[in-house]
Amino acid sequence: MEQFVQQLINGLSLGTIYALIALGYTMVYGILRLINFAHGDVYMVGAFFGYYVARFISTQLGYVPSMLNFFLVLAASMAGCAILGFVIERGAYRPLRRAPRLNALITAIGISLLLENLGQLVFGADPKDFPNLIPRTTLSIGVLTVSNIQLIVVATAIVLTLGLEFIVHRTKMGTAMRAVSFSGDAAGLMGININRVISFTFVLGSALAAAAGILVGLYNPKIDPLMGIMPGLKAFVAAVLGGIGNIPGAILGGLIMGTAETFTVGYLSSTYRDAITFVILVAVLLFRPTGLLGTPARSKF
Amino acid sequence: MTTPPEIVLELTDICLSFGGLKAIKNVSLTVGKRELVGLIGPNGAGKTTLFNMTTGVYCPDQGTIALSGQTISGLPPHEINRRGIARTFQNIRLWGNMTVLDNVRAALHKTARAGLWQIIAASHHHARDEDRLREYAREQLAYFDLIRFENDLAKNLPYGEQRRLEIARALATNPTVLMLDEPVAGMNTGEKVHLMELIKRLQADRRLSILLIEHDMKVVMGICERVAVLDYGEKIAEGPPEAIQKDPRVIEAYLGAPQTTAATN
Amino acid sequence: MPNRLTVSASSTQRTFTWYALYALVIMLLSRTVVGWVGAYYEQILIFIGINITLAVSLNLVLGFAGQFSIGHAGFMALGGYSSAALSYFVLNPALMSLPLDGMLHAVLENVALAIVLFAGGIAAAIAGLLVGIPTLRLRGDYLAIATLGMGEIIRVVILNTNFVGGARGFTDIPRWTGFTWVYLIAGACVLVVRNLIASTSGRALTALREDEDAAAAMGINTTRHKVMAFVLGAFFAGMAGGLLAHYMQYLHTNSFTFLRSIEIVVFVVLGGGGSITGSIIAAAVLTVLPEALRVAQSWRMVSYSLLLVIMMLTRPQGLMGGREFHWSWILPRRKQA
Repeated sequence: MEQFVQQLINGLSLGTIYALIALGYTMVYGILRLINFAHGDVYMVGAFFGYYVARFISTQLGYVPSMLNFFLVLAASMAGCAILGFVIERGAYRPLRRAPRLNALITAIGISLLLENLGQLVFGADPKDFPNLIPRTTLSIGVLTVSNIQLIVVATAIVLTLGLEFIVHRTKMGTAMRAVSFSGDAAGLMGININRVISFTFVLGSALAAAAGILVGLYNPKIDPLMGIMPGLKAFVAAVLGGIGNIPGAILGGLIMGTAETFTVGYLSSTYRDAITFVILVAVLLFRPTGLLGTPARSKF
Repeated sequence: MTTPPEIVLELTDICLSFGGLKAIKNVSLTVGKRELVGLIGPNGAGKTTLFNMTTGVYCPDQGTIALSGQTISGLPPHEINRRGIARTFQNIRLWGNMTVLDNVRAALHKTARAGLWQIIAASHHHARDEDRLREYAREQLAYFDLIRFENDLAKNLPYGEQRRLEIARALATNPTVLMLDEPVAGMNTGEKVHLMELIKRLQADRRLSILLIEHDMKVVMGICERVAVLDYGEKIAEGPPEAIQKDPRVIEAYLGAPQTTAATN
Repeated sequence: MPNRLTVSASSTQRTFTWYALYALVIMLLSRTVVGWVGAYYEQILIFIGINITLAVSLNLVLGFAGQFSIGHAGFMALGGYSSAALSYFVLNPALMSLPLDGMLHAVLENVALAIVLFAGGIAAAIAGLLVGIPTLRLRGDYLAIATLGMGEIIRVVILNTNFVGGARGFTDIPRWTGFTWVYLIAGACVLVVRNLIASTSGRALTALREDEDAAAAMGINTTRHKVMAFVLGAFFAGMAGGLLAHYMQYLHTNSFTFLRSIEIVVFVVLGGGGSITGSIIAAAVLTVLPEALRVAQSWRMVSYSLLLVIMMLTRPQGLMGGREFHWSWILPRRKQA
C-alpha cells in the first residue's frame, strides 16, 4: 500500500511535466489541426537553454540564492523557447498553412529532426549534467518520502497552468484563440488577426515546453539532444488521451501518462516503460478517439 | 391523375439529431420508378442531411429507408451504392488529380472481373477486362460530351464540365436512383437549360428515378414531376409543382429568405 | 462510336519476359561489376536495393492510397526477425546436417532463402492485416500516430522476446543473400506495385486518396482497399527485413525505431508520392548521400533534415510529382508516317 501511494506521488510529479508539454500540443492542434512533432524538441532546447543560463549565472554572477536562480533560469529559458516557437511557426509552418496536412506534418517531422541534429552538433551528443539549481532535500511523511524538487515541480506546473487558464479565458487574446480554434475562417472574417493568434499560440506552447524542460532538469539531471523524442511522444499521447484541443484534457492525460509509466516500471518491468505509452495510445484511438474529455464530432460533408 | 408509379425509394418517418438539434423530424418521402422528384426548402432546411442519410453517411436515429422494398438504412455508403443509389455533391467532389477518364473508370471498379492475382501478374484476362472498362468509360464520356477532356485532370476542367463529369461518374456505378445535390448551382442560364435537358434525357434513356435538390425554381418547375418541401427539418408540403408554387405554407417558409425572388418567379 | 478494341494481348507473357530479362541483367551485374567494385560499394548497392523495396512498398500505402502510415519499420522488423528465426532455428541446422557437396548445397540454400523471405513477408502481412483492420478506420494524423504506435509496440515486443536475442540482438544469422536476391525482390516489388496501380483496384486506391467520402459514395469499399494496400506494403517491408537479416547476419531492434519509419516516409515524399520512379531515385540518392557526406560527418544529418524542410516548402509534390519514367524520355519517339 505504501509502495502504491509512493508510486502514485512519483507518477503524478512526472505527469505534471508531461502535462506541461501536452498543453503545447493540444493548443497548436486545436488551432492549426497540426501535430507539431517538433514540440518535444523545443522542450529539449528549453532544457539546454536552462543549462547554459545556469552556467552563465554561476560563472559570471557568482552566488545567487537558489530560488532566485531557479526563477531566472526558468524565465530566461521560457523566453528563449518562446522566440524559437515563433521562428519555427513563421519560417516553416506558416507558408504551408493552406497546403495538404500531410505536407505540414512532414515539415514538422523535418523540423524535429533538424532540432535534434543541430542539437547534437551545437550541444554535443553526450548527456550533460543539469546544474543543481536547488539542493535536494527530502521530506518524510510517515513511510512516504517526497522531495522538495517534486513539490517545486508540481507547484510550478500548477502556477503555469493557472496562468494559462487566465490567458485563455480572461484575456482578449485568449478569446481570439478560442474563436480561431472553433473556426479559423469565421474568426478571420470577424476581424481577428489569425496570424497573430497562431504566433501567440506557438509562443505560449513553446514557453510551457521550456518550463517542462527546466523542471525535468531539476528532476532527472541528465540532458541530451535526443531527450525530447520520447517525452514528446508521451505528451502527444497525453493530449490525445485527454481529448486533443482540450486544455483540461491535456493536464488529465499528462497525469495519467505519468502514473501509468511509474506503475509500469514499478510493478512490471522497465523495458515496457515506453510501450505502455503506445498501448494507451492505440487503445484510446480505437475505443474513444475523441479522448476522455473531448466531445464527439460527427463527420461533416 | 394516372396511377402512381411503383415505389423505388421509400423513406419512412425519418428522424435525425445532431446533439440537441433535431435536423430531420419525421420525414417520409417516396420516389417512384422513373420519376423525377424535386426537394426544395430554404437554406439549412435539412435537404443535404436527408441526402447524406439516404446514401449512408449518417444513420437515421429513427425510421427506415428502403430501396425496392429492401431496408438500406444503416448500411455503409459503398454498400448502398452497390444496391443502386448514386449521388453527386453540392460542392463538387471529383477526384481532382485523376484524369477525367479515370474518374469514370474508378467508379466502374465494381464491375471489374479480374482478381488481385490476375492484376499482379498482368494476366490476359485482366488486360481484356481493362480494355472493356476503358471502352465503356469512353462511351459514357461521349454521351456527356466530355470525351475531348478524357486525358485532362478533373481539377482542370471548367466548372460546368465538372458538374457533368460528376453526374457521369455517378451513372457509371449503374444506379436505379440518382440523387443530384444542386446540379445547376453556379451555372449561367445557357448552361442551366443544357443541364436540364441532359437530366430529362437521362431519365428517359437510363430508366432512372431521380431525386434532386435545387434552389433554382425555374429548374424545379421545369423538370420535376413532383416536389417536396422541407423547412426546419420537416416536410411541409408535397405535390405537383404548380400546386406547390401556390401553397401558402411554402410561400411563408420562403418569405424573407433570399430565395423569395427565385421562388416567385 | 467506340473505337476498335485495342487488345493488349499476352501482357502476362510480356511482364514475365521483362522480369526475366531484368533478372538476367542483375545476375550478370552481380558476377561482374559488383565483384569488381569491392565490398564497401557492394554493401551500399545492397542497402539501396533494400531501401527501394521499402520505399516503393510504402508508396503504395502513402503515395497511392494516401494513408499516412509511419510504422513501416515495425513490419520490416517483424519480417526480418521471423525469417531469421526460421533460418537460424530450423532451415540452417537442417541444411548443415545434410552431407551435400558445394553445388547442391548452394541450390538448397537459395531455396531455403526463398522460403524464409516469403515467410517473413507473410508474417509481416498478417501483422499488417491485424493492425490495419482496426487502425485504418482512422484518418490523417490519427492514422499516422496509430501506425507509429503499432510499429513501436512490435519493436518493444521483439525487444522483450529472448529467444530471438532480446536486447542483445539476434546474432549468427546465416549469410544467404547478396546483391542478386536484393534486386530480384526490389524488381518484383516494383512490378507488383506498378501492375496494381495501373489496374481498376489501383484507381480505386487513388480515388480514395483524392476523396474518401466520394469514393465510398461511388461504391468503393474503402476499408477493404486500404487494408489490401496496407497488407501488400507490409508484405514487401517484411521481405526487405528478411533480406537485411540474411545479409547483415545480425538484427537489433534499435535499427527499427520510428526514425527508420520516418526515413522511409522521407524517401516517398521527396521522390514524390504516387511516383514509383521518384521513390526509386530518392531511395538511391538518399542512401548514397549520407555516405558521400561522411567527410562532413557532423553536418550530415543536419543537412539531411534541412533538405526535407526546404523540399516541403519549395517543392511539396516531391521530385517527380506523381509522374513516372517513360521510355520516351530517352528513346527518340517514332515519327508518325
